Amino acid sequence: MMAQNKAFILLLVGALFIVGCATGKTVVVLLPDPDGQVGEIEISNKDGTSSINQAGYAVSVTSGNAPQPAVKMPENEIKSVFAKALVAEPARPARYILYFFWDSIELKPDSRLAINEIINEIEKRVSSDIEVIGHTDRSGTDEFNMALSRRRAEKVRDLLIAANIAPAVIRVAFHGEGNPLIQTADNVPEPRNRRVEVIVR
Amino acid sequence: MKDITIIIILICLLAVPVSWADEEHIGSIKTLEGNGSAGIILRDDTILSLGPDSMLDMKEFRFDPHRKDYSLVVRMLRGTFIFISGVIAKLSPDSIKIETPDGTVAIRGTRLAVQIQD
Repeated sequence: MMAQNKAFILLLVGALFIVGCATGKTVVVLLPDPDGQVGEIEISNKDGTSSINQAGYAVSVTSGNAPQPAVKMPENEIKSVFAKALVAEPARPARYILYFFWDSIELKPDSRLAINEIINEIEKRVSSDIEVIGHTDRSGTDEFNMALSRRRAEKVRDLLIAANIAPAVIRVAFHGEGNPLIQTADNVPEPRNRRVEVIVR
Repeated sequence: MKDITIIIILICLLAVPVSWADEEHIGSIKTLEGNGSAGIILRDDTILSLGPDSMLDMKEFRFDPHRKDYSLVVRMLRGTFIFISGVIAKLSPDSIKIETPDGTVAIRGTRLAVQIQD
């Protein structure tokens, strides 16, 4: 009796394995980007390839068969099938640029105010991933600028921590003069490059 | 019945080619049935969301603009997903691979939805 039961369960598992693994189907739908642009996707397996370049079109594919040609998927069907995934879609990261005085870790007045905006955004999103990246212009030596960009980033980090943002969610990076916003020759002062970028995810 | 469902998932995982198991594996995400969902933002600003009863393996993620080293490989195992490509799609679109049980998706900077039916 035991053995029979076991055999039955094995058979059941075997049958479900075939159902579960062999007869699945994947549907891929191309959607417009948040800014309205539409890209292109290509679905392939060893039996063939099918591509989509129009929003709202879908390709169905089952393993062992070539992907089907793209067909229009009704908008209400997209909305119902993907309802919860669409609701769960996180907002795009928010980016800020804070500017500094020359050879200084003192923020320009507007940027000092923008810190509050950043703190609001962090709290609104309950963000656990904040990136703070320091930069300088190209006046001065590479080494000096590397250290200055670090001090600028740390200054911004400290302002966030002072506003009760957890240190563990802030990552600090610094690029010295190596990643300018505005390209200049070496040793050229450029206020727009004296900055810290903050990304809130 | 629920136990059997889990067993099937495990068997399906075991049935994948051995080479997958050898690759560096970052982690898996699984959402609950019913109202489960998840939203993820990667460091290159790729955005991923999962509907209920969905399962995803992050197989590779490298984003190092200094070394120009980029890789994003995700395997969608079951459920529903929305994917919005990030910076890697702009700098190195061929470094992105979305795998499903039935085929692979290659993308050119875009947003897409995937549904995997049992």
